[in-house]
Amino acid sequence: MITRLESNNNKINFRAVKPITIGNKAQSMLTKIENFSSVQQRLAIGGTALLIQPVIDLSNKEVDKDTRWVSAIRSGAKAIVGTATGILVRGACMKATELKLAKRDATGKIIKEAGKITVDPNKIKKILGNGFDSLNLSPKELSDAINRVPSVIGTLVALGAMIITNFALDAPLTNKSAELVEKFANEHSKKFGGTQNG
Amino acid sequence: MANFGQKMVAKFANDNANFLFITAAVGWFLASAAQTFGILTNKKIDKDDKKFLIPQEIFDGAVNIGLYALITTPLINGTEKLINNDVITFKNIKKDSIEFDRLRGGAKVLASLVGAVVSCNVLTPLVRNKLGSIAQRKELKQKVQMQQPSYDPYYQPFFQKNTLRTPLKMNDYITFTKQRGLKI
Repeated sequence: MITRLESNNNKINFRAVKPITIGNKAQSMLTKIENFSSVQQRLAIGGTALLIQPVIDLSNKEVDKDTRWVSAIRSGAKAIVGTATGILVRGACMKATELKLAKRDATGKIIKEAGKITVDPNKIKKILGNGFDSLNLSPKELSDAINRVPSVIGTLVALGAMIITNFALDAPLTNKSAELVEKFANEHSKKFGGTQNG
Repeated sequence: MANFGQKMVAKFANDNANFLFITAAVGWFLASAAQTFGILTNKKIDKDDKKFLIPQEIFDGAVNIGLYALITTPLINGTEKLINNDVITFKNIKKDSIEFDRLRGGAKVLASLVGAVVSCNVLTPLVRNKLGSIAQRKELKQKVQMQQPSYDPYYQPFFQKNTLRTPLKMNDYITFTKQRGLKI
């Protein structure tokens, strides 16, 4: 419970707020989330967009029923197309970077630890030079950051690739899906006898 | 000595929440640009519709990124402040431990995800729908006005048979009022 939120100088007095303690289960979830890649982020945002946005469009009473349905289906189609291409491009770029920066044995075979591809710190050092030096990280923090480098480089490469793929894939696919939605809406209104204004 | 690019990649690798925040914003900008380009180059959409759809798409993208920054930045910073000031604490974890830093990083990433979902999946569609319905009403009103014959008091009324569309004279006006039994 908050007993006193503001002190005399109008700054938030954090000591007046009763602390919230995060338990073990939530802690393990936060540890997993900390290493979320842009693919998982895109999936989380795209998945919730698919669930929430059509519901918002359907409950928009300011437009007629036909428009509500068309905009809801269009929102859903946009979420599917955007999420699918986003995940595909990001995932492909990140996987390629991960394979390029993976630790390999003398025969060139990728070394895996606990079923996961491990990053070669020497390769990271070659690419980033002394990039980590100014951050003053502890050995454990440095190890975590090094493991995230393929994800970071992969995402940056993906953003570059998306300049092309967004125009070549996203836009035409959205146009195509919008046409399909229009076709579906026309058939839908014929089936139920004309427009469904109301 | 590391160059700017090397330092940025190292910084992003260390601060995942900010990295995901920035890349999501760039991703949405690119997506919005592509959608605008798609409308611009779509030959099936006529010129008049493009005049409405292109600004709408640009506005949609701007609202999306604007709200995302407006909601997510204070959420990330606020979460960090609450953790640093012991308002949010972690059970059995010491403040200066590596585990604490990891959990703080996880909380920041979670805050960025919550901000993205609230701003882009809830607020943007609500704002977009509101603006869309205003634009739709305005367009419908314009169409109705264009279909209706305009009434000009200086010309003969459109429902009269002899519509020569010539300016009315005083005699015409007197005849007209007499016909309807009107008194001045």
